[in-house]
Amino acid sequence: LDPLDSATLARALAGERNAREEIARRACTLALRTATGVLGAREDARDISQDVGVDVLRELGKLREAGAFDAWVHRITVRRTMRHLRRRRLREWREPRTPDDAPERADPGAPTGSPERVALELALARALAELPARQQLAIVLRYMHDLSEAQIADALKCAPGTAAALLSRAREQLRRDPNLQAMTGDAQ
Amino acid sequence: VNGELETILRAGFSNARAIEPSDADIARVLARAQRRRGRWRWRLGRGPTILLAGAALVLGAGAAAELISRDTEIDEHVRNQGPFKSSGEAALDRLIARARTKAKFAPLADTFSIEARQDSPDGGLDWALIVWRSETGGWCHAAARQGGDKVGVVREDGRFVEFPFHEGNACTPGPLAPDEASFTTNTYAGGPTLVHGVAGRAVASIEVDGLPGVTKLAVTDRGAFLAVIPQEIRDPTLRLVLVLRDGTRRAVGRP
Repeated sequence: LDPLDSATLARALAGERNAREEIARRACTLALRTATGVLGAREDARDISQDVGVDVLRELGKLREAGAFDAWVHRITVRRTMRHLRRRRLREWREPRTPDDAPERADPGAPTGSPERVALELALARALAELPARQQLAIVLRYMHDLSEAQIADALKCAPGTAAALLSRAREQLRRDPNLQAMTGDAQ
Repeated sequence: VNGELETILRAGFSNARAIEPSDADIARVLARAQRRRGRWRWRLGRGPTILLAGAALVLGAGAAAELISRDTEIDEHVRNQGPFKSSGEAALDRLIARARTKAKFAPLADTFSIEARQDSPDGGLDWALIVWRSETGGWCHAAARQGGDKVGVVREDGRFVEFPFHEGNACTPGPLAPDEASFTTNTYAGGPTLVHGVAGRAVASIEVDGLPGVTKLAVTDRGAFLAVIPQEIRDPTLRLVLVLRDGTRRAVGRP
């Protein structure tokens, strides 16, 4: 994605429709990618991305400069995704899943491509689902959006050292995942 | 092992990295953002709404006084500048200074000019069409409000903000052919709708179909044109007919 320019931001704040659409599209794209990476289920990710888009448009006046847009969207996405995960866990606690139920992450954004690619994405989705929410988000922000540890810390509202620790612990657990271990040869 | 995990993680997200929301999703977001503005009023109930409205009235009066004084200040500034040309030059000086420090979009600093200016339908700051060349030889154009030696926009909250509009606006990728035109529309909530662009040197005038009350657009010496229509026209479907100097006509579609 090209960086948001200050002219588009200013026009959106003045109510110009094309600029507002561009802002909404950018926010929804960032949020949709993050939410898909964490939740897998495309419909839930879509709902979150739309909520983020609405939040962004309604709160746009609070944004001081265009350069801070992406970081701001990531923070809103993290908040919305965490809320969704909390509700999902509460739901699962009330209505525990049986072994016969299909896992909720069975459709990680409908993976397409070669069988190896699909297998890799499914294995990654299942391994991610076993991580705590903040570790999942840290991994997705790092490898989906190429954010630095400082940027991840900003999105998760924690210290950079905490973000580094979250990433480290998440990588450690993923490294031990048997399905991902089986994939190492296919991912090259 | 660490290197392999990094590879797996990057490969595993490569499909998701290309996901885009659909046009329908974006339309829904825009509609919801508009709708939700009015919802809080009804959730609060009558009593708190009246109290809040009273408080807002008091605060709003203060803010309005501040805004009026600010607008008056800008208008006064414009008047004190005397003829349009001098205030235009002052605005351009600021743009040129910024262009020199912002090389990203590589505008050619000495090519900025305010090509057209029109009254604002709401009686506020005028609309000005600024045209410049990029280093690729392309033509760029942007419409903005001009207040004294500043160009920018008036935000929905009433504040005038200056912005480096030359960072991102309509630009042709390269030089414009003599019988071509590049144009764009900007539709503001509640109006106005602006149509602006640049035409090649063979274009004498432009006829337009699809704009209420406007059938012909004047073209400046450098080929620029600007129309300010008071109404908000959503997704305007415009058909421009370029009337060339040799009398031939050429139709161009929506931007």
